Amino acid sequence: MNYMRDNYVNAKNDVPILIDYGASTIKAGYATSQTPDVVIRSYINKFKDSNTQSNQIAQWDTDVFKNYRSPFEKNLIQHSGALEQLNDFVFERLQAGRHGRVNHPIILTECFATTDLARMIVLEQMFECYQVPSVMLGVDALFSVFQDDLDTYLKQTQLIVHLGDQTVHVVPIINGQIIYSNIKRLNLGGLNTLKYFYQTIQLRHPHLKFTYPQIDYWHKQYTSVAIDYQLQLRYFQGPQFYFGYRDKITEQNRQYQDDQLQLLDPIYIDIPIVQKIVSAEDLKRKDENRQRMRVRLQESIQQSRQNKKSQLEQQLQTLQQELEIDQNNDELKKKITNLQVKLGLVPKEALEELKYNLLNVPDDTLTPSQLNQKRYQKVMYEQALMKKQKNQEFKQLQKDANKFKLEEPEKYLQMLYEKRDRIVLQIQERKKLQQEMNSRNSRFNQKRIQTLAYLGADDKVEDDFGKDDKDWEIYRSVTKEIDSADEKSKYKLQEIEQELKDLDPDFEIKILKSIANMHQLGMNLSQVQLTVDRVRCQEIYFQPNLIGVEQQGLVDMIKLSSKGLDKLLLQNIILTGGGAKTQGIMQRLQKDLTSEYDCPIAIKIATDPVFGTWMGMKNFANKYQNMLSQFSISIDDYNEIGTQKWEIFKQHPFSNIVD
Amino acid sequence: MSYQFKNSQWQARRKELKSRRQSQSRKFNNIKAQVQINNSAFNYLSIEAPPSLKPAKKYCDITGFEAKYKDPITQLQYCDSIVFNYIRNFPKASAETYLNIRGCTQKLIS
Repeated sequence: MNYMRDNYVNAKNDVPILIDYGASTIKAGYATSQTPDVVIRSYINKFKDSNTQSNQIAQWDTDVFKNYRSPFEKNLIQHSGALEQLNDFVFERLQAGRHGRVNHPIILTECFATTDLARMIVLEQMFECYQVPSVMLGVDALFSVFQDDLDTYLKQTQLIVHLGDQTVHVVPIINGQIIYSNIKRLNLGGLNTLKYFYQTIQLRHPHLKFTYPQIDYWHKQYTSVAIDYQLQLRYFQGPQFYFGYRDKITEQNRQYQDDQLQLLDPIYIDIPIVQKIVSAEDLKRKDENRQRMRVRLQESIQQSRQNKKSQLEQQLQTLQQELEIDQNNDELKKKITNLQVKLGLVPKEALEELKYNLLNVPDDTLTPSQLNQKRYQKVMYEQALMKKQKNQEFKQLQKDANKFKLEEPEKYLQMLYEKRDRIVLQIQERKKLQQEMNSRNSRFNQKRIQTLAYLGADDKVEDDFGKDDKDWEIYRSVTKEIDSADEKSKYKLQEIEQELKDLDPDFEIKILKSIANMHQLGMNLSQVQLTVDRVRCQEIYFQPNLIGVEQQGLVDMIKLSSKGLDKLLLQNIILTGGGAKTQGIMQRLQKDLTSEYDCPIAIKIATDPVFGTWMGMKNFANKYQNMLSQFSISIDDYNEIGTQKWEIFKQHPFSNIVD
Repeated sequence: MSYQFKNSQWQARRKELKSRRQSQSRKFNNIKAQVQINNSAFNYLSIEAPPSLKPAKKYCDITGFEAKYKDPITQLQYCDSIVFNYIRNFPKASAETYLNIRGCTQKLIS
């Protein structure tokens, strides 16, 4: 750290500061240092901290998809506030300025064909806020190709494929002349691949929660571009698909091809389920609390019982006093016997005798009203008998089931499994219904609204709905049917599953097998299976319609931009940018392009894909210091002309400007 | 926060610049309008790669294998009967998220 500080202090005023604005990372540093001094992610927290009243810059492991924003939109600088904070951070780390200004010439990067607004934001900030003496604007893709010498740079013929974080550029250069009309851009990049990877995995495993660093690590470690995508998919799908679809010739060359294609194998990652460890003391405390609660409950129950008893006794006394006044009242007698049964003074059979008191009396002695009562009592008596019989039968059945269980355990098990399957199906259907209830446009909800409308459309003159509390239960009855039924069937399922667990030792394995399928869908395992995900996320470079970007793939773009130009271009294809680090992208391009052209094709990856741009800037700034003033915009120019006119921008080998 | 290297009048100046930019016109609101100001052939929109002429290949939305079939209710593409059963059993909200990944923003009715 001390060494670095000395480096900053010794830096004189005419040493240029180089800043490479990338969509994912910003690299900055003095031209004298070997590697970029400051490397930060270009994301800023949306919300201010309560302590420091300032926004935080994203760390390397913060989740960029939530609550963070970058100054870039589709590789264009759009948000000036976020950019200002990132610049502040950079200049503070570099210890660059004093007395209200940063007294260093500055070299910045921009993307191809930036809009005026993006340039305005950058220039205004640099000249007004930091009062920089001069700014040079160059294109990042062009700087990344610059080696040491400007003359060789101006004679080269190359096809640059710049794989950025949000965009991909294809740039043909012939004899040092950039052919601006043939530059093509694809609106996706490394961030899209990561997002696609994240979304697909999270959707297939809704019960697990993934963290950003986890996903980022898997994305870097396990994903790669498939050299033959269709064949790779079949390989993942299983041996049937892989060998079944081939014709005879390819079957003969199988061994050779497999070595060439570098087919990937699926990866299984176990995710441990984290459980809270409960100490013995906590358990003791919980037990004590429970016992205390139990004692309290018992006391309260006894008190309430005593209160009830005293109340009932009081009622009895009052009723008996009334009975003394008129002794022929039957209802009063009934009430008294009821109370006596409740208090336990008289056995239960006395009640029944009172209930069916007219059964044994002959018809001649009865009045017609009493005859009616007798008929009613007969029916009731028969029903009660039926109930008793049913209860007895049920008890016998249970005994039989126990016998059945002991004699033929296999059949009994089958019966239980069938029962379980039926209940599971019912629960699934109800779940579907419930989920449909949540969305307003579903057929179920529309039906419900229709029935409610019918209820409201009665031809009554006076609207007295809602006077009774019972009226509102119509609404409840419409919605609550499912809940209660669901609980009942769940309870049944629990009972059956417990029985099965007791009887069948390999019950769980059987259930897993019944759900199990080739794709492991809906199994809720604590395991992540990376099969197609390993190649699918990187495939969007070649098939952008996978994530809904309606543009050509990378191969078609190269074809289009090299159309009508020298074929030498195809022998000098160079991949730069962070996306060039992905595995297999070079082999894939080689394979696809050789099938399109009949000329030889050579592709290479830049020596340092990520920091190559900054290195190119450093080499240029160190070797051609005298040309820097010629290429850059000075503060006097800015004050005279302003950012509105084209005259202010200078044309140079790395520039973005066409006549 | 005040830094040593920053112009002390920047805060006031920034508001001025912002208000001027807004008062000029609405031309800076989106990228399309920004491009239309100077009508050169080399601008941000013109270097965009055109849509592909080849028919797009169809892949299963859930497993990623080649898809031969399409579910008329959820509009999802699927590869075999196992996936079909899975699709029919999950709620419509997750079907919409699967569609959003592929770039279809239509809403499922009924």
